[in-house]
Amino acid sequence: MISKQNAKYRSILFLLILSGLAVWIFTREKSLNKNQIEAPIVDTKVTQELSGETEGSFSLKPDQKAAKEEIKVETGGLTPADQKKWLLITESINNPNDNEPRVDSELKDLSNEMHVLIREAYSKTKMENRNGRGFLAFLIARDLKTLEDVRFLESIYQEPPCVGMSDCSKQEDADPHIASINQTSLNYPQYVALYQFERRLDAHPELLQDPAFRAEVEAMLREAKQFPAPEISARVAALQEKLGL
Amino acid sequence: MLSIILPLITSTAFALTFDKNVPQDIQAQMVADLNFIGTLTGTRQTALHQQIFTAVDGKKYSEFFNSRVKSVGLSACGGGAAVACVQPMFAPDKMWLTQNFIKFSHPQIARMMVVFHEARHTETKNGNWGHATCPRPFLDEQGKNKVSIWTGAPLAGEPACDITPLGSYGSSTIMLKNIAMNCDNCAEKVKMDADLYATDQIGRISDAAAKKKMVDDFKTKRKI
Repeated sequence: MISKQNAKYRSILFLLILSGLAVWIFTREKSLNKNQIEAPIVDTKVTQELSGETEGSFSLKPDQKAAKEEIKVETGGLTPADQKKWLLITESINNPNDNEPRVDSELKDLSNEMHVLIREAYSKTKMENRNGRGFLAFLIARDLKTLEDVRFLESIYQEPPCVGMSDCSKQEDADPHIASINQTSLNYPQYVALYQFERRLDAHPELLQDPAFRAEVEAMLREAKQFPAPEISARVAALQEKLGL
Repeated sequence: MLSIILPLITSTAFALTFDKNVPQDIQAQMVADLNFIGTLTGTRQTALHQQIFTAVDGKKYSEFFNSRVKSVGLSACGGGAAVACVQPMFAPDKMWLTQNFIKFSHPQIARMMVVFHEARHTETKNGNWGHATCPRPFLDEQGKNKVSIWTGAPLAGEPACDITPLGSYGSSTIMLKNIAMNCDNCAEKVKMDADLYATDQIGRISDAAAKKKMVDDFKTKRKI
């Protein structure tokens, strides 16, 4: 039989143990929380709050910028509206986050001056910035208007192939398990140009009615077919057949 | 006392834990990428997408990912040009990112394709959806041997194919194809990228019947 005094001591001991356990759990949680970032959770609003972005907003955070390169082109002749568009373009070239709605609402039907700048920016963007170069090719091909635009697309297939994600001039270990994503990214500008070019012509077949434009397109596709990536060549062949070129 | 202890125990049930050695910029990009996926919406999906993910819906994608991956570490993933990997025998619910995750200039949806491909590999109950050996010969649509473009290394004989639509290549292809076709709040570039990378990935489905099933699936759209 347990004496009243022993029962009292046992109760105190139990409460002490319980308190110690609570303190231990609390301090452990505090330690783990240093390294935890909330995963995207069911509540979309909370997800956006965690990222610091509100719906429809677009802001570069310093810790989200990859090796940012500055593309220097002369923008003095742009209208204020085009200056604003140019700022969006330069932000997007280095932005690893692609789902920016303003690219669709504000970067279509661009002025000739903007096309000139985009083409120039492409030539000044690092080869290894595959997403950035692809983005610029996307803008031109989606908005294809002039012979200069077609010649620009042709030049994309004349550039030396990028053979390594770290350094376009050096091949990397091609583990076949992961190679496929890299092979697409290495040829990303070439894929994008064809993809958007086809859609542009689907939407505006009248472009090919201009003999000069048609001749330029034929030359571009001939060049693209010679690009040393079999998948690109195959897509060009399919497009040539579709367009009757 | 128990009412105080229990909430403390369960408060971290759905948090993605990063190892301390994962650089802050990699953590931030992973969170940004997952947040992006978590906000996608769509009103249709194909039958195979319904089977694997249910709807084209960020909440469903988040649930899919969160139910499989609990923590993220930093690893070279065997060296080479990988961006992510899993080691299910060693840590079944952990994903490893490499420095290439932010160093390589991949489109955002391509990074997520890799992440969801790897997340599928964590499914121990499904044998981790191990890859099939690519057949010998392994030919493309033009009848030529599929090789690594710049090294010329053949894919034939490599463990880098799938013979089911439901494996890692198949499921991530199905996800991206559905995003390309059915995402309502994706920018045109995102949808294009999803289409481009899905088209490339389907080339890893080496079983003709499985591939046909996916191609036929992509021709359909099904309302919720």
